[in-house]
Amino acid sequence: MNRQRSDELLAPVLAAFTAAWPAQDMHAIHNAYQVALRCHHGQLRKSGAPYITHPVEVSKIVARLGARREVVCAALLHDIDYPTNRLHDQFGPRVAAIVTGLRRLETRDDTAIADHDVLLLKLADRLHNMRTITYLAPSKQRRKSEQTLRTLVPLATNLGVDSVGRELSDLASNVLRQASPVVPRLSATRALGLAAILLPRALRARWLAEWAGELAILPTRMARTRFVVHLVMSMPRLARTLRHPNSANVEGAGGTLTRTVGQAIAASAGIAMAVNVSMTWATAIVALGALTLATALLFARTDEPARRLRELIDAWRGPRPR
Amino acid sequence: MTLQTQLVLGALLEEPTRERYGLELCDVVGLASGTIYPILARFEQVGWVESTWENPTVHEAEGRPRRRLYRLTSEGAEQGRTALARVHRAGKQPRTSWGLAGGQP
Repeated sequence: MNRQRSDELLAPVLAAFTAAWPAQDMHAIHNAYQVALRCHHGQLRKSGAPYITHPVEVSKIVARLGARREVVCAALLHDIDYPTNRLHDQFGPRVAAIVTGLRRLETRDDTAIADHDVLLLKLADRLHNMRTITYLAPSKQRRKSEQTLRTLVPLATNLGVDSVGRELSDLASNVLRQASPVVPRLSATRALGLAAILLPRALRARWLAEWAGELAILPTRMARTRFVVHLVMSMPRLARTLRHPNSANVEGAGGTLTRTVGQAIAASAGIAMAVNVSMTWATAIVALGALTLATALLFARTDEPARRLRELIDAWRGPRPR
Repeated sequence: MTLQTQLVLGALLEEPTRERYGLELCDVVGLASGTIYPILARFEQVGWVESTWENPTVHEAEGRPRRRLYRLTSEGAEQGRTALARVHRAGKQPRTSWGLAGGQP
């Protein structure tokens, strides 16, 4: 990076510092910057920007909060891998202590013993990372945001830097709020909607509305899952009943055929609903494929396909105790 | 008549004028949703049961979607009782074929 460009990067930091500490000499800040520039040469952030932009932004944040020169220097140096004594020799005991304190905090995550400057730096570091968090994997984003809300926002309040706390809170909440669509679990309504394709079209809406009403009063997710899984399993039976009103009297026997077919369907939908993992559309398509298969079997002229499917399922399941 | 169907019919006959939600019947009879709804659908088809949406004032006040209520009809009460009696008379004989006897719903 040429001299002119690097001066541009540091200029806002110097401006913020001078605003808070007008008479103070900024030689040390320039030095810290040059050392950081050298150490981070060739390194990149996840966003692809030169790594130096991060310590510069962090130092800008603390400078704007009116931090002392040592804290601003420590901010510029907080990610270089100088050992403590080298920091001590070049920048003095205070800067060395702050950087070392931050490193210790990162490994032990114990805010109780860290001093005010270290904690301020930690907050500023996290603030810049949260501002640029979109370059991280979604699961890391969630984890960092949860930790931010849990630990760092209260910390910011304790330190009296409310603006930082508010921004951290907003950024973290934003991530967590948007996180839900990233983990789409097959919802009860969607599972029923899929299975209800088997029902006669004219009656579909009535049944789906009815089940929506029942789902709304079920108290737990477990109860809702149970409700839906059983329904999905029996959808072929319900479909047959609705489509063939004269085929059997009330006193007719239930169909083992349709029960088998129902069990074949229930696997994907039930597992996808009950298990706490992200639901991919592949699973939905498998479920839909199974439903199509079930439809074909329902309206088959002979029992042959159903019997073969039954054998397949039994073979897959293995021998069951009688 | 399957055992499950008998159970549902029995539960309905216990309080013939009472309107019940589907889930209520699941609890009372002790069967799962997938078992109850096909049975209720069958009863509805043969006119033994009628279903209606619950009163809007009820669910609107509670801020939830409406639920369906099921009630035994008079034919359902009469014919259901007869059918159950027939089953009990038949006792523990093994079921053979369930032919469509004349005049049955």
